[in-house]
Amino acid sequence: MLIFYLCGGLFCSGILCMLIQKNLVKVIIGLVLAEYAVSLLMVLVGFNGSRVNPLITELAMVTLTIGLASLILLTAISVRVNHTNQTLDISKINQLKEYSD
Amino acid sequence: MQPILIAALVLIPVFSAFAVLLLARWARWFLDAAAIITILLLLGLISGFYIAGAATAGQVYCLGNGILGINLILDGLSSLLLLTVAIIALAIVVYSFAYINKFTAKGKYYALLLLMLAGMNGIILSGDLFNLYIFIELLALASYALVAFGCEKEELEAALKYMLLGSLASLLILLGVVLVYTFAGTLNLPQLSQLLHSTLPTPASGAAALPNYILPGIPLALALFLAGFGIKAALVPFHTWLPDAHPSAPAPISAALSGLAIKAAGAYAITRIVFSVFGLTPQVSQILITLGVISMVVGVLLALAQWDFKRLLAWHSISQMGYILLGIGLGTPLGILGGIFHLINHSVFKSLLFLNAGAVEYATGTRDLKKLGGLSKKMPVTAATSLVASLSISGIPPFNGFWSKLLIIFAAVFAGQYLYAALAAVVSILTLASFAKIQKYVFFGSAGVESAAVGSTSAGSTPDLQQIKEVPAPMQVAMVFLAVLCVLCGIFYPLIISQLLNPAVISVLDINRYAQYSELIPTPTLAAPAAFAGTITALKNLALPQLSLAAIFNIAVAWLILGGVFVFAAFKLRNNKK
Repeated sequence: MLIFYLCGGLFCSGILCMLIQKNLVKVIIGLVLAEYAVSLLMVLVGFNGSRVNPLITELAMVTLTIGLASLILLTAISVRVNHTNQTLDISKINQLKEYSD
Repeated sequence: MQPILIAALVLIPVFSAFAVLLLARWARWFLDAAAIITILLLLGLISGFYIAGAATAGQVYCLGNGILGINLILDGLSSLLLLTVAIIALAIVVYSFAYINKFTAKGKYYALLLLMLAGMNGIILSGDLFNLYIFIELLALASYALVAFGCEKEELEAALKYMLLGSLASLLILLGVVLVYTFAGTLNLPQLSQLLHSTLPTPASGAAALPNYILPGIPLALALFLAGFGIKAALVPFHTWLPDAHPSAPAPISAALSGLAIKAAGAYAITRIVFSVFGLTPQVSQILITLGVISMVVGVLLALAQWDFKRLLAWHSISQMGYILLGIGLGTPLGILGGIFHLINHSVFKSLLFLNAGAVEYATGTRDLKKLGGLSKKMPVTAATSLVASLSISGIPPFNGFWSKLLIIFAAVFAGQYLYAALAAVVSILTLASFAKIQKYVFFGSAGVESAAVGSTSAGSTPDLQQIKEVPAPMQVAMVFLAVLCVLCGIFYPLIISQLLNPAVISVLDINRYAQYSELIPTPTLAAPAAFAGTITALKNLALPQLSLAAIFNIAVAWLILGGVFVFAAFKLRNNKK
């Protein structure tokens, strides 16, 4: 049972990292941590002590692939944001704020 | 109609997207033709389903091993949404013929737009939770790339914000999916619906009677789904990405995002999950109504303060999503009718308004209301269609928005929610005030109220309002088409309600009907995993070749997404605005 709590802890640390970090790269790392925690939970759910449920294996593989695709796009956009803003500090990337008041 | 044609609704746009991407370099004329032919095929297919009666009777397509494979389910609600998607997409593609000449990467634009459509059709059709997640990610990835399409400072920032929040939403939905699988042992929506609503042993599994709806973890999964789909639908505590992301995209994409994407991935998914699968309890109904009313009020109040044309429209999207959720959350037949009617009406007039805003930006180069004025003489078609859309969204009879808002307000009164009914009426008046402002500052009044003022908020230089011409013909055709739809939906509302909306409302309300679709799905050759306790024993018999077809298809779809995104990630590193 402990391993499920550890998995939950990994998810929470990922979300916490997304919330409190100011550096864009660290925010992305937090997102990826949380994503891997969910994939890990998926595999743990389908594991019966000796083998993993093939259905769950397939779901986990697809999840990881989609996660990789979204990570690539997110990183590409972050690179462009870094070029245009000359910073990775998300509290300084705030051009849109001036419209919203 | 053949069941395989249901799968064609998803597969045609996917293959068309990749064909467009591959052939873009050699045959540029091919792009417009491929996009419009794809949309017409989709429209023809869904009309065929309506004519054949499959739309009201319901039809199931299975790929792979029964419950474990991929199931696409077409019923009243899904066919109505598919029809809406196809019609709005037709207008958007026609509009894009001329508009997209502002950008260089035409092929990538069409490919992403078609992937978005595939994602939306997939969400609407998918009959199991995991494929729902896959299609939500497909839609989301295409939308992120399209929001950043101009590759300028603000657009990239909006895309980044949208992407971080959207990924978080997908993650919450995925966690919900895993929890549902852990505690219910199945991901198939009709089977899940049967499992959660019957106290009898389920025939498919023969497992022991399950505690109805009180499976541990199911309420948590429902909460995760509401939060995840709430972010996708931009309900108010989760709305912060929408007023940035929707105005930053090219105008036809803003129309698709506001008119279709938040409805397919937000309102439709919430309706399907809550009504057909988990069942509407008084607590969930209260949550939906509260979220709806807060979105309605906050959205319109912030819209009043905006001076950017598209940003104002984006805040109104939040407000109108509140109406839809209020109607659906009431849970009465009248409320659901009003909610779904408002959903399709909002698709029509909000797409039209975004296309109008795009036309104004195309002609003048700015969307700052303070710099515009007196365009009704220069751009008569844009001005007239925008007047129709403004009257529709403000709820003036006989346009379509009036009837759906009236139904929602009546439903709230009959349900005894007098405060919410009064708030809905007040929000409608504030909407009228806000659109009166657009009409006054953009289309009537004198040119350029503050054109001499410096340091105004919106990007772009002050336009010379004397030199403006009406936009090209394809853009006019698209706007007139949607304006005519607004008027027709308003005048012939009894016909729309009896022919299109009633099957949808019945399919939402009749929960047993949805559960019965699981009987149309062939039982797999192995013991289906039913409950977590039973799963372990069932799993020992499960061998890999038994799910090979579905598995190969799923992995192929995932890799197609990955390959597409690789191409776009590379292209993101170039600026493509002319």
